Formats: sequence, structure tokens, C-alpha cells
Amino acid sequence: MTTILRAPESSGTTRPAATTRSAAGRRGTRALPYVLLLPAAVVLALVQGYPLVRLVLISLRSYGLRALFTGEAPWAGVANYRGILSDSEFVPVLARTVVFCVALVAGTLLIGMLVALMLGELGRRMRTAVTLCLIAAWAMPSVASTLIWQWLFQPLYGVVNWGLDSVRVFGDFSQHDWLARSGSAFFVVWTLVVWQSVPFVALTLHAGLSQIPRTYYEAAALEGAGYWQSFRIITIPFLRPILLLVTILSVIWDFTVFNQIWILTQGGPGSGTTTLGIWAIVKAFSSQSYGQGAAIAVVSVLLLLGLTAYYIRRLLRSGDEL
Amino acid sequence: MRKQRSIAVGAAVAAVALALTGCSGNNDGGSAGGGDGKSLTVWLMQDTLTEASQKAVVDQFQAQTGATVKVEIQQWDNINTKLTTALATDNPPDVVEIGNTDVPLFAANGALADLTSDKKDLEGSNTWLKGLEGPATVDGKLYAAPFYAGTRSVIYNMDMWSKAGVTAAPKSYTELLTDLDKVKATNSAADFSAFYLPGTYWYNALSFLYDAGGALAQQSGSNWKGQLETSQSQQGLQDFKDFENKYSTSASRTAPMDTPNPTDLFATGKTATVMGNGNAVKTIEQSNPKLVGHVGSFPFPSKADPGKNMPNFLGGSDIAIATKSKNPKLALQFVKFIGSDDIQVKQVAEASGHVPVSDQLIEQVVKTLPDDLKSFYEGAKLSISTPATPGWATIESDASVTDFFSQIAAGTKTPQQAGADFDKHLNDALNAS
Repeated sequence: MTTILRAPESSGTTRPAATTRSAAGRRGTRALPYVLLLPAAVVLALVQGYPLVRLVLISLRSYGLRALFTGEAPWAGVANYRGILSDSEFVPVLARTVVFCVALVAGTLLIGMLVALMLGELGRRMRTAVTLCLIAAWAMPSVASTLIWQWLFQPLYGVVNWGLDSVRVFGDFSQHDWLARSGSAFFVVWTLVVWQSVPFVALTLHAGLSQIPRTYYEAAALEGAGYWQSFRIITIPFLRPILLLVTILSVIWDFTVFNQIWILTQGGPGSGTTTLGIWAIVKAFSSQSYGQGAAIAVVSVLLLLGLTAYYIRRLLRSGDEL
Repeated sequence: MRKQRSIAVGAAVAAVALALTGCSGNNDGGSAGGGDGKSLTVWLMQDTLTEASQKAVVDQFQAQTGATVKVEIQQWDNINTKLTTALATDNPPDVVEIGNTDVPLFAANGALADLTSDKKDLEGSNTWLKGLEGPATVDGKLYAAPFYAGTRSVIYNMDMWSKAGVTAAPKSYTELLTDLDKVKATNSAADFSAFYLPGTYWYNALSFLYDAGGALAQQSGSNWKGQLETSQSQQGLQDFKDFENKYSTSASRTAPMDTPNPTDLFATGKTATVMGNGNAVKTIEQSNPKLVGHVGSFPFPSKADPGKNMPNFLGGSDIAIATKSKNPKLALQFVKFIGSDDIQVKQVAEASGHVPVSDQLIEQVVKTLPDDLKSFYEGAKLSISTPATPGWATIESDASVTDFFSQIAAGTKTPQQAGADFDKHLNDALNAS
């Protein structure tokens, strides 16, 4: 017994030397992953950690334009937070952010799931073609795609208005300004963000769907289950951890949508599309009140943590089960 | 084996660390400065100098001083944010052009170098236009020098107007309306405007406002109070709405000022008339050389005071030196150079179509002006200034002033409602510092 146990460790060396060397080797093996992670961790700490700490510090000071140029910023304690939470704009901005986030997540997940199901049913060539299109949409930088959306929806010379006008079903659309009212402006941003978010969701869910053993579906078909029944009973439970992950990521990304709204509407018309992120920038750079802008940013982070805490805990727990 | 492995690991870690710091590092934008002479970074705004005159200015300065000048052109969109972040760094642009309505913000907050002691060395400084010098002066100290003044007049396509039967520029408001009606009747295409005026074009909207006797805000003591709910202001706002809605496409009511660009629409024949400054005339002639000699201009006639012109918003820019500049002496030389009579007359006025910065120079230039630029000089005589307080920059940065006028033009808010809302915002922002 002992001979067999020791044999792999002592490959042609004397026994005492082999034991000490392999103990050292085991310590070295334990330290190796951390050593390899160190450069990435240092960069992350500098690029993400330092700004986060600075943000919290700025939110606790009375930081205006003069402070930016002279470096002196008096301590303000929680005055910025009190100012933000008692601001008349806070509740409308928060409501807009939450409702828009829910609309985006629902749209992305629904369309993503449908596309994932479709990918499963397609033949190999079509599947490759669709996958390539999805990746192209996903890889496009958000600023570039927003500028193109701006051109598409431009009142006099945009393609969308021209198309809707030629169909003649919706009336005269030739001069319709999509960005003039907050509802239609939010719709334009919704289409853009969903278009760019669906590829990730679709491909991830497709990967998850392909892991489900076919035998379950065959068994369900034998039992006489319809398409939606087998979807509900087999697909959803198997996909649950991936769905949770994708939902959390979508909530985080859609809560903090900025580029698209800023470039298209700058928060207008009349702060009608101002979400928390836009409000932070406007407070900081238009009103030159950086302390308050920072406070809004910290409040958004805390809100997001609260929203996702429950789901993150569930995901971690269900990961253990698997 | 163990030794080889740890060497390999060490090499991999070092390689990854170097690669990552290389990726995350940001190239600092300062120039190397090798060779003789120093280097100066200058920020100019879009549409300030034509390409030819910019080259002439740079070449002349480089020949005079032996230094190299790096000009970076900036867009007006979100310029305050860009200036704030750039001037706060340790390596800011040495010389910056700042719009005259935004200068108070930077002057009052220590971003710009104090030029009070150098004022006497700047040419023409005792006859500078008040609308350019005033915003740059805080507590008696001068923080920027005037660069050029901008006034806006009506620019019209003489061919299109004569086809409609109008051969002379209108001298009164009622004459303008009849002329525009005739032009409107010649072309009924959906995307044609007799007078393309975006609802966001607040410079012209301010003219209507002040012409009717209204105002943006008034200062009593140190407190600013919004004046948009007075009956005169309301009348001016209603006049603007009626005029804009009648002669411009409905899509223009909420269109941003620059998208689509009115000079492009003029050059391609989609409109017969636009508002613009002298530089706009140059741009139109550059875009469509066939229009050279066929573009005329006249000052916008007053509605309340027949025979006179509407008050004109005095725009323009000042030129300033960053406090943290690495080359303050060279930067000051550049500022003196821009303000010199030679550059003001040849490059700023004649080549680029702007109004020079002092009464003295205006008198000089007016004598030899080509016809299509004369009206812009008329406009400088009766001018409107925005409230000279740092808080005004907030109003321009958060787009509330363009939103205000475009919502009135589009009808999403009545002039009464919009005036009440904007007054509230003005009271908050103008009194904030």
C-alpha cells in the first residue's frame, strides 16, 4: 500500500528528498495562480479601484469648479447626499431609470430567448450566418451605432421616416421628429440598446440550450407534452442558472446605459430622458457641482447592489448545487 | 526542472505585467519639443478661421518667433466640459479660444491667467467692444483678450428671391413678411423652407424677445431674476413662434442648430434664407462656388420699431492663457499677435468674415467691406448681452436655453408655461455661485 502511494511522488529520487521537494512544490503550486493574477489585479485596482475611492471622497466634499482648478475642496459630510435625496428631480429620474431598465431587460431577454430558440432549430449554414450577424452587431462600438441611429431616425432625411412614409399606413411621417417627445425618444434608445444587447443573450442562451440532453425532450414528446409544456418543464429549469446570470448582467448594463441616451438626446427634451447616469453628468458638468454628481453616482451603485444582491446570492447558491 | 519552471513563470509574469501596463498607460499629449524653439498648443473653435487664414496665422507666427504652433479645432457641442477637464490637467493647452458667454465661468474660477498688467501692451485695448471685454473682467482683473465679435444677419439667395419677384432687400418687418410669402409660394416641396430657422436658434429668438421689450433676466443688487413671464417677453416669444412656424419646415422646430447645418441647406438649395454670421457666408460660398456673388445679407428688421433693426445678440470669442500653461510668455506673445491690427483686419475680418474687436478697427474695416458683409457690421451697433455671471454657463451647457425656445416653437409648451419653467431654472442657476 505505502509503496504504491509513494511511488508517483518519488520518481527516481531518494525518499526523504522527494517528500521535502514535493511539499515545497505543493506550496509553489499554491502560490503560482496568485502570482500570475498579480499584474491583472494591480491594473484593476488602479483603473477601477482608485476612481471608485476618489468618487466616494469627492461625494463627501463640496467640490465645485474652483476646487477643480485650485485643489482645495471643503469637507461637506453627507450634505451632498441630503441635497440629492431631497431634490425634486430625484424621484422622477429614479422612476424613469427603473422603468426604462425593466423595459430594456424584458425586451432583451424575450427577444434573446426567441433568437436562441431559433438558432437551435436552424441548419448549420444559416446558424453560422445568423451567428456572424449577431457578433457584428455586438462588436460595433456603442458610439458608432448611436450615430448611425441618429441618421436613421433623422426627421427630414432619415431612412425610418422615409420607409414609414412610403408604406402609407401610419400617416405622414416625413417630418416626424422622434426625439422631440420623451416617450418616442426612449423608444429609439430602447431599439438601439436591445439591438446591441440581444447577441450576447442569444448566444449565451443558445450555448445553454445545446447542453440540455435531447432524451428529456424525447421522453416528454412520448408523454404527449406540447412545445410550450416541454419548454416550461424541461428548458427553463435547466437554463435557470444561465438565465439568472444573463438577467443580472442585463440589469447592471441597462441600469447604467449612458452613451446612447447622451448622444441622442443629452437627457432632453427638457430632462424628459434624464436617467440617473445622465443626471450625474449634468449635475457635475453643467451645474459644476461635482460633489453632487459623485453623490448621485454612489447612490446608483448602492441601488444596483441592492437590486442584484438577491439574485447574485441565488446564483452563487445554485452554482454550488450543480 | 523546478528551476526551469520558476524561470519560465518569472518571465511570463514580467511579460504580462509589462504588456498590461503598456495597455493601460495613457500617452501624455505633450510634444517632444526637440529642435529649436518651443511648442505652443492652441485650441480654436470650429468656424473661427477659414483653413487658409488659419494657415496664414500659424505660418506668420512661426516665422516671427521660431516656435511651433499646434492648432486643435474644437466643436461647440459640450465645449465647457472639454475646457473644464483640459484646463484642470497639468498639461493644458497653452492658449484657448472661449466663447464670450462662457468666459465668466472660467475667469471667475482661476482657470485663466491674469492679463491685467499686460493689457496696455495689447493693441487697441482702450477701444475694445464692451460685449467682449466685459465678460472677461472679474473684480477689475482681465482674464482674456477679445478675439472677434460675431453678429448675425439674414443671409438670402438673391437668385431665388428675384425668381419670386423680390429684387431689393426688405427694409421693414412687414416688407420681410411679404417677401417671404412670395418666396414660399414659388416652392411647395415638403423639405423646402422660405426661411430655415430651427426652433433651437436662440440667437434670433433673443432678438425677437428683446425687440418686443422683453429680457432674459435682470439684476437687482447681486440677485438675478428671470424676466420671461412679463407681457413684453411673452409677446416676443409669441412673435418668434409665429414667424418660425410660418416659414420653416415643421421638422426644424426641434432640430439642433447644426444638424442639418443651415449653411448646407442653403448651399444645396433647400432653403432661400438663413440666419448666420459673416463666416457662414464664407462657408456657403466655399460649399457651392456657383453662389459666389449671388448671396446677399441684410440686418433683421425690427417689428416694434419700423425703420430700425432688431437688437442683435453679440456673440464672439475671447482668447485666453491657461494658468497651468508650460509656456506662458510664448502664449502671451500669441495673444498679442491675434489682437494685433494686422491680423485682426486681414485674417479675422477680411478672410474669415468676423467683426474685429475694437470700434477703431470696425471704422477702418467698414470702409473697404464687400457688400455681402456690410450688414454684419450694422448689427454690432445695437447688441444684446447675456447675463454676465458664471451661472450663465450652466444655462448654455445643459441646453435649457435651446430647449426653452424649441419647445415654444414646436408647441409642446405654451409661451406662458415655458416662460414660468425657464424663469425658475434661471433663478436657480444664475444665483448659484
